[in-house]
Amino acid sequence: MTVADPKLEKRTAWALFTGGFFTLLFTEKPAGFVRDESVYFAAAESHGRWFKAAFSSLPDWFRQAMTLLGDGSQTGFTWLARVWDARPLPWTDAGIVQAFDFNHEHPALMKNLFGLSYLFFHEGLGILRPAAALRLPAFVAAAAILPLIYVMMRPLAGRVAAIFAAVSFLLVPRQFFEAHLACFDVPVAAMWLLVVFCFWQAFEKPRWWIWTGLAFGAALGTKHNAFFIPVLLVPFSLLRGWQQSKDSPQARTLLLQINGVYVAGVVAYGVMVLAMGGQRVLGTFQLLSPHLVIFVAASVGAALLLGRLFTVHVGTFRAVAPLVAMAVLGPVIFYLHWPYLWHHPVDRAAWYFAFHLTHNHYTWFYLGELLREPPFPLDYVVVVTALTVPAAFFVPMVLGLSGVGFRAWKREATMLEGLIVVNALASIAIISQPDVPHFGGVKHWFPSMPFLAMLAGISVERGAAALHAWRPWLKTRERTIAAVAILCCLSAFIANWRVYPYGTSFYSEPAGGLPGAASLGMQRQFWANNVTGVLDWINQNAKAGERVYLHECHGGQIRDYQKNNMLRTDLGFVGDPFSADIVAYQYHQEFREHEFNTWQALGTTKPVTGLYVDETPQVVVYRRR
Amino acid sequence: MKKLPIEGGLIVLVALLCLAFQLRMPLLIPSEADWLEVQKVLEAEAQPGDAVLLFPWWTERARLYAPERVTVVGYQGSDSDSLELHPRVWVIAQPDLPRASWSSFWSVFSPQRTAIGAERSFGRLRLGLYQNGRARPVRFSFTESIASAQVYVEGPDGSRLPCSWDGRAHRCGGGNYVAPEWHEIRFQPRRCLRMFPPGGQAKLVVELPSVPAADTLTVLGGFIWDRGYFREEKFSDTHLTVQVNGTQVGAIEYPRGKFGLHRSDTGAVPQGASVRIATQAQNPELRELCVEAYGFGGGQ
Repeated sequence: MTVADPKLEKRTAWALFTGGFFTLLFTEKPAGFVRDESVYFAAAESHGRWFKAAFSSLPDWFRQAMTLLGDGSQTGFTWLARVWDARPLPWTDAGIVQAFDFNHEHPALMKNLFGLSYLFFHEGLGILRPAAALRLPAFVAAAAILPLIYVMMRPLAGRVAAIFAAVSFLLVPRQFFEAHLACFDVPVAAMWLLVVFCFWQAFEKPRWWIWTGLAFGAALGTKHNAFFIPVLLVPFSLLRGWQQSKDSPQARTLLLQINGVYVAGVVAYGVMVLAMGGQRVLGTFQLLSPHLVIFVAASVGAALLLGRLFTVHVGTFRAVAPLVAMAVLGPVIFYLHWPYLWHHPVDRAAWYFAFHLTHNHYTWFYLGELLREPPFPLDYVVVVTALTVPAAFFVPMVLGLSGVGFRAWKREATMLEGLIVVNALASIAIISQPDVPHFGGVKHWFPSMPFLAMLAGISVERGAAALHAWRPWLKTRERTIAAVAILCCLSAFIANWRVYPYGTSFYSEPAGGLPGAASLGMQRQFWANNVTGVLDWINQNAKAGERVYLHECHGGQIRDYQKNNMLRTDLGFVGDPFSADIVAYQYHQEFREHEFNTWQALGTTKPVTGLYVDETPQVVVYRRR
Repeated sequence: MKKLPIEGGLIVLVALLCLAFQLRMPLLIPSEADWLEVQKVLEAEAQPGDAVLLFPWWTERARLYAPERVTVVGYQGSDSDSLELHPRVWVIAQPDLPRASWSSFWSVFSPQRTAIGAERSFGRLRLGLYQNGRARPVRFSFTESIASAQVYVEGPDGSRLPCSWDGRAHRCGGGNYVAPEWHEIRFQPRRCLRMFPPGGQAKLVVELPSVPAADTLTVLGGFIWDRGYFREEKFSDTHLTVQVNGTQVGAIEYPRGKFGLHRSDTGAVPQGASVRIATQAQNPELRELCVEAYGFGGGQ
């Protein structure tokens, strides 16, 4: 399919981005602060303060350096060493740890952006409330998903179907809600999509291989999901390289050599781990150690071979260059973007990996059973996706997936279709592993969702076109596609209208909505943001000084609600129902004991108010008798 | 002949069904006025000792409107609860909600229940009152009689360390106490006696020295909250024993990982008998048992 009007394409992409961004910005206020978000808010403010201190210290540092240079006593390395020793506190490890130690279980990119946005839009310009300023970069990331879907889909589908795919991503109520949050799940979905988009562009266009490396670095700086991306892209790169080099034996040799360099690097690390043990390998990873030599040697070797490949065969070069760029730039950006790693890159990175490899399991209610530990049901991710994505999107997703699968079976699928399918299934397949933590609703496999949206778009276009060919009720094929697309979006739009801002509670039509899901025994909500549904009641009814227990909300959330004028500051907030006068219990099946403790503590089983979404109890408020 | 557009037809059909579902959903939700009507009836007609059973089980918004003198029952599995402490049961039903199967509910609820009067409808709410044929007269209840009970820690040699009654709980030292409390036992709210075993071979004993005669002595108990889930070696098996006049008549074993509420029904209890229940676990860590004991029936 050819792209007709580049200007129109660009305008459409920008319109999708702008529409997405302002929709998120204007609907931001009701979205409650989820448990993690208040942690990231605090971390982001800390990062922001560090940036401010670090950059405002630069002129003094520069003056000191000039003074040292001016006295003529030191030159070269001595001068550099003196300048380094004279660095201001924010640039020392102590200064960095002070700002970045909090919440170092996640890399810093988004938190840096949240913090800088807070400094600029709230503290500087004063045009946004604190939460909106902190969340702004998340809106940008989420809104960027829309044009990326659109542009990536255009070679496979018409304009209307591509717009439908883009808009449908944001209309999934759980995604719409989470797109508002200063968290990492939607941003990493955006970064994942960006990497794949750049990778695909790099096959045809110059310089996009560098963009792929940079995008991958940004993805690594967003969330650890990104570490899986290269695994998915390697087969496409090799296949493309193999196809491209079929008429150039020299290019094929270089292609194999580049692969050989990386295989040798992996083997070398493997031998080290086998000989020394994983812990010792990590413990001895220093600046001048075989460990780093292997990485540098592999990077330099691959870069040299890549340089030669460029002169021999550009097509093959473009197939493998993105991967080499990812291998080289990814770790470098990961290191550079996160000051916490600057002085102790290995042990701190090792801690980070270990944290996620050994993440604890939170209890989760699934089909009437509390899942507490692995092995988790293999069908969990697919079932939860089917029950939380509006069926008018989910069915085309499945049909689109089947269609491409069928074309692949007949060896008719394009590489782009293959890329979309593999990335649509990857996160779902990874999280489906029975030993992987299963908490967090659907957010852990968000990176699959933009690709599934594309498959839905392909299916809607194909289905609508066939409808038009069968009975041309509307004048043109495009109008029929638009009509079907709008019809698919309508129910999701109404669902959002009704359930927002309680997005983590949403269940789709096959579940029977929220009431049906409650009867099925599904997790009612998570992340504690639904408490916003009772804050007005508390603000209006609590007496000054009364002790309030907001179940499942930590001090950071309370601080943020107060800071954003959503919660009175003259109340006492306590950590258990026994010392409270008012309790806002968040309904979770795994926390029923907490509700009954509340009955015990307050001497009543009768609530005074609550948040009931489509009758399902979400937050129940009790008051001491 | 043109090929049938199956894919497009399916998408349009699903989209239309979804649209219908979303548009219909608000119509299935009872209004505040509906609930207030139900409240009015319950305020006027409900008697102390009545239970209000919810269908579907999770529709606990009813708690806002039910008078405190009735017990509201709604937990996963409550459809089949015998509600044996309650001679009359009100059912507040919302059978129009998605995935609410009234026939499934009725098949487990209706045996031994007789409707009292006609069912009433208030918008989307249906309210029915039933005579509970599964109810049994309570002759004595450990939970209700806790103030007059003798509570002590009994050593393996039979020595007794009495716990002191402070008006709310029997304090047994080391932070352990016995008192009626609300706890969750596998999703159910139970008002039961907190009887956490003291550890070692010692037993925590609650004894009613002179009970009225009863046809059946029923003991129920289970680990609270998530305690039944823990299965590691370090946790001990826990024993709940029941004695009448010094003779063991029942026992419930709680091995590691045993979930839920378990029950022991034993024979008749003579007038004036001494009934004692005891809990014991070698390692008391997380062996947090909550227990109820009732004498049911007319007796001799």
